[in-house]
Amino acid sequence: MRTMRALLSTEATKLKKTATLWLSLIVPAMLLLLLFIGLVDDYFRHPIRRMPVSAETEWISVLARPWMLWAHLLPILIAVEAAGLASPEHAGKHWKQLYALPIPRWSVYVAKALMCALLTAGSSLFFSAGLVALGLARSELFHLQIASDVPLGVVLEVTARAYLASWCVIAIQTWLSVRFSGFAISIGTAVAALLFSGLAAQFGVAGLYPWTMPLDSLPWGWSEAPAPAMVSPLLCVAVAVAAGWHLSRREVV
Amino acid sequence: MDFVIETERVTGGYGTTMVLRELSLRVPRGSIYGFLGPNGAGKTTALRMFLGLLRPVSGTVRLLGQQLPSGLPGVLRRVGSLIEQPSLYDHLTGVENLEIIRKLKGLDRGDGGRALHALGMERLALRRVKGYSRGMRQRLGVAMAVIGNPEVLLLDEPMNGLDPDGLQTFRSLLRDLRQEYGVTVVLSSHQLEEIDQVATHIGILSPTGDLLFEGTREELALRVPQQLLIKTDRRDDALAALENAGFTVDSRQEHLLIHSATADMAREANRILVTNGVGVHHLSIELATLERQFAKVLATTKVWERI
Repeated sequence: MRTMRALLSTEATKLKKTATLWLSLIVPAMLLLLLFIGLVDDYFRHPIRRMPVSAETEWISVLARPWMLWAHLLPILIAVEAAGLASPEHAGKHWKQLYALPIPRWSVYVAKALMCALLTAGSSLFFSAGLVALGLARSELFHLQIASDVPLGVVLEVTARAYLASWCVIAIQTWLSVRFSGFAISIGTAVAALLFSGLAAQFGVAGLYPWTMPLDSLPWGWSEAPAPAMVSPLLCVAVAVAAGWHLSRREVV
Repeated sequence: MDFVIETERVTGGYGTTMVLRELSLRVPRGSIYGFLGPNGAGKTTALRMFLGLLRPVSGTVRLLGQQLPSGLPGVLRRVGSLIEQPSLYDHLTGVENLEIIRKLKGLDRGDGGRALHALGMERLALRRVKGYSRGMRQRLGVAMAVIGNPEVLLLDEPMNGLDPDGLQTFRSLLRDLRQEYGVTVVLSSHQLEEIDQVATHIGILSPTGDLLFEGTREELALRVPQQLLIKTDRRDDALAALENAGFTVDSRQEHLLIHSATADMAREANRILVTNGVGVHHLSIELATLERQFAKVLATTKVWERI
């Protein structure tokens, strides 16, 4: 426990002033900015668009499509963050120094995966908070009067489900990033895996395919079941055990 | 005698390339062990094996009495290391870099400050490493290795890039660590004159990864006889007189050298020079430098290999 605390503390120190840390905020912020531009454009084109519907329906329309977009993007963001977290060790050839310290090798992997999970949680919460803010702006612009009906429970549930469903990808991408230097393999794998998402959905295994799990965990996803949010953490543990075993046995050249 | 590192018939390398061949060495506790060898002899490979970073194909490595890899990572708590160039996070300050090692080794907060003080880096360490010169990076790397006064220090080319002041500080630090804390240091370097000044024991690897020599400085000196150094006012006359008397004189440098010299030979050479009217400025019997001892051991091996 002391070792893990020390490792997480040192990972946090290494993250300071890095692009990886900023990216975890910039990516959701960019997406929110795009959504905001869409909202403003909508306002100017159709100032009096339609009759207001129920608050619940309005909020679902605010949340559903952006969250599906976010769930699509999440594996790529995770790939970038995982590669960014491992890149200082690769760039400075730090593995030999880290592995010459009195800490188990697998714990370095686990610390990086946990840090990636923390960054992903931060990004997801930031995005969710931004969506609520967008919903409030929409309420104000279109006089929808839904500001008092913010479905915080739904927002938190969606955030938690997609986040938990992303753990398996976090474990896989961290493994790849620790094993291979540079961003190419990590991001290349994520992009290639996403290309097969449609196929996974077609064969009905989207809930078991790590890169579609976040999307499939949403209430508006394919299966409309929370299964990926439960399966993903279990798969994450299995992947982490395999990764820890593999990385512990590797020689440091 | 107590040994902090013992290897027995260790063979290994990278992939299918075997760098070390049946290496059996023993590093005595409290020694400063100069680990020498030409490029590619396997010094870094051996140091990596001592730390468990590489696994031998055959043979055993014992570090502080614990056989590797089963003793890992616990035994590394008592070891400090600097392998090749220091691994530093450029975007962090020197203090932050040191803090990372301190925390992961589970040391007290004060240990970082003491290590920086020992290397004279208290003020410099507040700057970002990105702006460090090569020598400053090296100093910080050494500070990271010595933090917490480990029982064993494994240093691979630690003197690279150090300025004269840095070298002086480094030498004093090694001596202090050894004398005050009983730290054992394994030091690999190409700078033989530096190792010459600090090492108590020497291990020499051949280009093919065999251990050619291991022992104390005195034992190594016995392998390479002492030499007689002569400086005169008339070099050519002195050379002729000595050669006429049957001495084999090395005249490649400004002074004259007679290898494998004894006290009797020194007395005789002096008598001949004075008899021939040559003014002798300087005449002394000197031990061969480590560089010469190293060259001699390597040269001897080449003969064996040819046979």
